[in-house]
Amino acid sequence: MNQLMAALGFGLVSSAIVAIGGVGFTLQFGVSGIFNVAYGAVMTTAAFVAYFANSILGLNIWVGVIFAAATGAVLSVVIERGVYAPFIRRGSSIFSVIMVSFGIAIAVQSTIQAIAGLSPLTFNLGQQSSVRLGAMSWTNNEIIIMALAIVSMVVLHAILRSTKLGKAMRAVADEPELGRACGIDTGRVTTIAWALSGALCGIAGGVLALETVTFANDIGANYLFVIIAAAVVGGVGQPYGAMLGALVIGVSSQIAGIVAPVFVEVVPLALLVLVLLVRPDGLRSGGALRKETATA
Amino acid sequence: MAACQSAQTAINSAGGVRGQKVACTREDAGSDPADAVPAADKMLSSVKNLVAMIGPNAVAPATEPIIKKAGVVMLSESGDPRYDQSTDPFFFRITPADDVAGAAMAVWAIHSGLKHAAFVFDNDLGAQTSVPTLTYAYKKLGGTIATSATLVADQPSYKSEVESLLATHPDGIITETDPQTASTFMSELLQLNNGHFLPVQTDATNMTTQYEHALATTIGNSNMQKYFSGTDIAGPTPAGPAYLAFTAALQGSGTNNPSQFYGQVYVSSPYDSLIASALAMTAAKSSKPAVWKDYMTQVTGTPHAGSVTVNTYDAGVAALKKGQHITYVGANGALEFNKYQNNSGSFAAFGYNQANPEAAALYVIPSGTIAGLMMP
Repeated sequence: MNQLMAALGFGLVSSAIVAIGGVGFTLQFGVSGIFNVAYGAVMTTAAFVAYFANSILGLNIWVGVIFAAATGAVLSVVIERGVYAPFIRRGSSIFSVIMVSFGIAIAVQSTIQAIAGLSPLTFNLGQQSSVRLGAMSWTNNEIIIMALAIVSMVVLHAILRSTKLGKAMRAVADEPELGRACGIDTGRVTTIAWALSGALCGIAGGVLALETVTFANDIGANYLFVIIAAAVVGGVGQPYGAMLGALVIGVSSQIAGIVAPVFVEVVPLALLVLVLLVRPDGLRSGGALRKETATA
Repeated sequence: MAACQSAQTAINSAGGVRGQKVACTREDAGSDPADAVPAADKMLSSVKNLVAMIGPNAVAPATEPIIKKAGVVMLSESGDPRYDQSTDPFFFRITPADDVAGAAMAVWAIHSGLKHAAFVFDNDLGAQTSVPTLTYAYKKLGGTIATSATLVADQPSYKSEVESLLATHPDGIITETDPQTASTFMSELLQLNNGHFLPVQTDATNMTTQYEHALATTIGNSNMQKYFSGTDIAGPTPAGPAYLAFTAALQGSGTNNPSQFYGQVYVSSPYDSLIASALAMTAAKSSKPAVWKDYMTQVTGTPHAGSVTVNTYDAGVAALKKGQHITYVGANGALEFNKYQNNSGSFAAFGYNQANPEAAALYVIPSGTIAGLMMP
């Protein structure tokens, strides 16, 4: 029972990281219909920025995570405006855009490799103090990661539900042509959505690297599958669904790890298949942001 | 090339093989069969009087049939367990197989008092190769396995796995993972075990600079020095005529910065096997591989009565000219080929010593001990 409670505690940390990344991923898809495989490469870039800010510039690790968020936001907007938007304006198929995103992912990862090399990098975190709650145990950093996830979700919820920008995002996601006819600058809204989701992507990359302690230039690509699984389990294009998906996948993976470590990787895949089989639109189908066609 | 060039220097300075000078040539086989097969083909078709090839190692299964068909001796450092019972008469494995390392780890664990250890290996094929032999040998030596965990490499957290491991109360950990996995796992072990660490033993080939750097950063140098050790194939003993001949040949070979190779088992082993090959040719009075390959086991093995132990090529040639039987014991010790032409080799355990990476072995594990612990 103690191990189960401990796994639940660890699962909450995993869920927090997956939630930050998953919501960013699904927000991009929800607003622009782009299944952005390069998301993992942006996470990796952000992880390296967080590391260099902390280990080379000597800044506090959380300042490093802010740098990572800014990097994610800027890089995502550059990729969306500079690469995806021209393809979408030309009416490229979703398949073509996915292939383009693979190309971007490889280009970004190769660039990181050329600059930073292949050797793994390690955060010098020292001996971290722990906080215990029954059998559950977290480091101070992990508590901040969970708090960061909650704050990110609350802020995103507030933006989507209570601001004009949020309404515009939902309108663009639901019916872009109608939104445009109503005077919404869909291009601007899409760019802001990509900046927001890119910031979440950057935060996810930064905190993932912190949690892993040692990481290399494949960290984002390796973790992308879990993020996509959370997004799909929750219902692609639905931020609240991604939060739910992250919770389900994060906790169940850690509990599965008690049975056999290899199941940690199997659980997201199994849940993904199961949900696609039983509820193709995800656990939380019919949410706010969802669409199936690409828009610029 | 340092091994071949130094052997070439030693052989040619003693007059060559039956009056013929030897020469080294190189083809880059890479690590991909698609590159290795054309490279092997090119060497076999373009080099006249080719008597032996060192390697390729990582892609041995792709090239070994071609080299066998050409009737050329292959001196391989491949760790692939498929060659544990090789029937290729031209194939000689000159360094121990990867799975043999598992038996060495078991011996060192028991010797250092780990009787109830946890096994933690990642799901990489290279890491998993050692596990069956380790399990077999560890149990045979009286050890009980606290838990055996196969980790999915490069996960962001292994806390559940660490909790499960700690619940079994192991007295140490025997492990082989990549640096990232090790760093994450060990830092969480330190955290969840309230700042206390456990003895950790690994295959020393796994303790790369990256591995040591990652671990030293996360758990600290003092923990590394106090708790970490690894087993590796025993390198050359820096003393004796064979070692002196090896280092002299390296210095005379024109190799850049030869001293960097003095303690390198992956240089001294092929050097020894080439010297043994040249002695086999001398004993066979033939440089045809189909003939002299059968003499490899005659000029090597454990020194015994009725055979003159020689440590250098020229001493071996001189003894053979007198009609004596010889046993060559090289810089890396005796070459003891079993019936599958696998050299079992001895192992040694090393501690982590940042200040002195070349520190002496903590414990030497003789090849005979390991041979008795291999799975039937």
